[in-house]
Amino acid sequence: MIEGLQLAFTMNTLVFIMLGTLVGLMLGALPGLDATTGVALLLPVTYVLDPVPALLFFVSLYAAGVFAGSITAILFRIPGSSEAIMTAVEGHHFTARGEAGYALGVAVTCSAIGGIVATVALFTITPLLASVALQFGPAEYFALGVLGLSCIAAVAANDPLKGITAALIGLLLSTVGIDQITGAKRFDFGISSILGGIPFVPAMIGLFAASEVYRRVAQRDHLLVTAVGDGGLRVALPRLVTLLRLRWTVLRSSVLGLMVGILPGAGATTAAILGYSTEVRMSSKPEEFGKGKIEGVAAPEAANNAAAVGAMIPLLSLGIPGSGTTAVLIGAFLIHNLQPGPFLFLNNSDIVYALFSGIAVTNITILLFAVIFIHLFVRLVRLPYPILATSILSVSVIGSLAFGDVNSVAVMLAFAMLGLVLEATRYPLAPVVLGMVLGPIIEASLRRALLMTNFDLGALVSRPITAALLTIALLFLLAPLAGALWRRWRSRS
Amino acid sequence: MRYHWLAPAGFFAASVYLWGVASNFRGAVGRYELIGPAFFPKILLAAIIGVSALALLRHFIARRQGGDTDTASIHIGDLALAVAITIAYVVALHLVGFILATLAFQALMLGAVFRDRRWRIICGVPVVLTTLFFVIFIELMGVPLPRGSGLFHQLNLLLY
Repeated sequence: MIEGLQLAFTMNTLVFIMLGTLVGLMLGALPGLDATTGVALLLPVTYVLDPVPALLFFVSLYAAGVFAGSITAILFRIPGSSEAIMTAVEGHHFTARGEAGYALGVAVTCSAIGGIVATVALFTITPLLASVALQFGPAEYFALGVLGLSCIAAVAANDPLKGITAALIGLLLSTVGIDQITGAKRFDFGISSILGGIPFVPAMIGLFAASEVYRRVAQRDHLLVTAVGDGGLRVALPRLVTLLRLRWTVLRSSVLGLMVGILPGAGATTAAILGYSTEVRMSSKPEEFGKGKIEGVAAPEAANNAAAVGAMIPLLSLGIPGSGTTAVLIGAFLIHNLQPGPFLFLNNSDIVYALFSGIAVTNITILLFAVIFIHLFVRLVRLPYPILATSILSVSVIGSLAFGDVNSVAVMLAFAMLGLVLEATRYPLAPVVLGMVLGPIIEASLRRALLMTNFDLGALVSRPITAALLTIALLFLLAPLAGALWRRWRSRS
Repeated sequence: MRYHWLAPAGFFAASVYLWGVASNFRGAVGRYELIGPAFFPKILLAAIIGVSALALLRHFIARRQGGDTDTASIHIGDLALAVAITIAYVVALHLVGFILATLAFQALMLGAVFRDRRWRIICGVPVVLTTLFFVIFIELMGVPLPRGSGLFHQLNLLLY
């Protein structure tokens, strides 16, 4: 462990952590380019480096990239990466109120705290958490997905029927492409580029960014910031009193994000959604979410960074990637003749502990660099909206092209129209995203679990963890309904 | 609210059509037949048909009770123009390449959609933005953006 700490705190390694953080911030903030793309693009560059600086370069790029998606999410409602999807839903309201700096300050601080909490867990409870994750089979994953979906009851508290419809649309969209189990083509309509599923990033760019521009065009609403007060766009780290008020939100979301991150395949996006939805449920005023509530920014930010760090646990201890980016990261290990998994702890424990220490340093460098970096982005908000809108649409098209071909742009435009129709008819957008992210997990897990239990639904739901998770989901779904009935009864009596 | 029935009616009709599409999914044999490729989509489609019917029913009951209060104005012409210019941009990208297409797209958006009449904005802003995107996406990130076809392809090869 001491050797590992020494490896992590050399000048060479620290320089590469800073470089990785800067590259991650830049990539994460640009829609269409994310940490996964960055890691994949730069893998060959690190051939010549030593393993520890090379691996920490990628780990810091990954962690910074996960945070940076929230910069454009808050400023322009463009999630720079899929992990920032819930931050876009909640955070952009602060920009409209002239409080972008406040939201960005909270986002970066909570991201760093989430990452640091998860790093402490990396050192202390890695073996215990890894063994819990190993007990998760298809039935538990199905229940976890249902639990994630149950938050639509809170997100769409004003109109649960529209929330459910939006979530069902998202789930249905997730079934497009080749079926994971039988290999059959579904809803592809002869378009080969969607056989792998609807490209997520172009879809999100369309649903949130382009649809927002088109909505403003249709309503001739050309003011981005309606009430910029003095210092409204000045980035400042939150005051201690704000952090104390958010302490349980951040702690809860960090632990939740860490747990989700450890589960292979669940990823930081799911963590952000679960962190947000849990916060909505725990709140005494759930109706204030979706309109610019700071807990709605703090929770997904703490959760997604904790999950990004948590995803390193199955990668390092079991050799199983916890997310798309960690799957690409395996390439970085292999370049240096390292095989992630139990043998890495046995043969290269110095490298493992150097990585743990480096991840802790990364979270601090994100905090330091992001404040400077965000200043540059915040200035963009002062631009006249027509110029911004034109830039956003250009980046939406270019970003979609970067993720594929002209069909990706068609997907982006189709989702822009879907978002426009849904918003015009007051259907919430967040459940669509929830459905699209959780759909593959829910469907594949349900079908595998049914197959394993010989289609015995009773046996499926009677597994202890599954039963507990489904009961919690049911309670979350029924709670708003029960609350409404209680309030009606109270007002009558 | 007057036209809000269009969304659930659209979801209802689309789900009925997609149910027919899902019925033709093939690929499951033996034990997999019960949980074949149409298993999950059909559950979802049935649910969408149910909730859409419920939403339609609720809408017409609300209208009968006088809940028609929506007054937001929508400028369909502006929206159609913006979408048409975006589609034209995508087509132009493959004909004349990234630089010319982006310059024209931005000038058209500013002039035609946002009705800016200042020439320094219509000409200056696209040049600045296109240069910025060129540096970020092509020079720094190496994203292979379209070079157009024919003569434009040859010309763009000189630049990127």
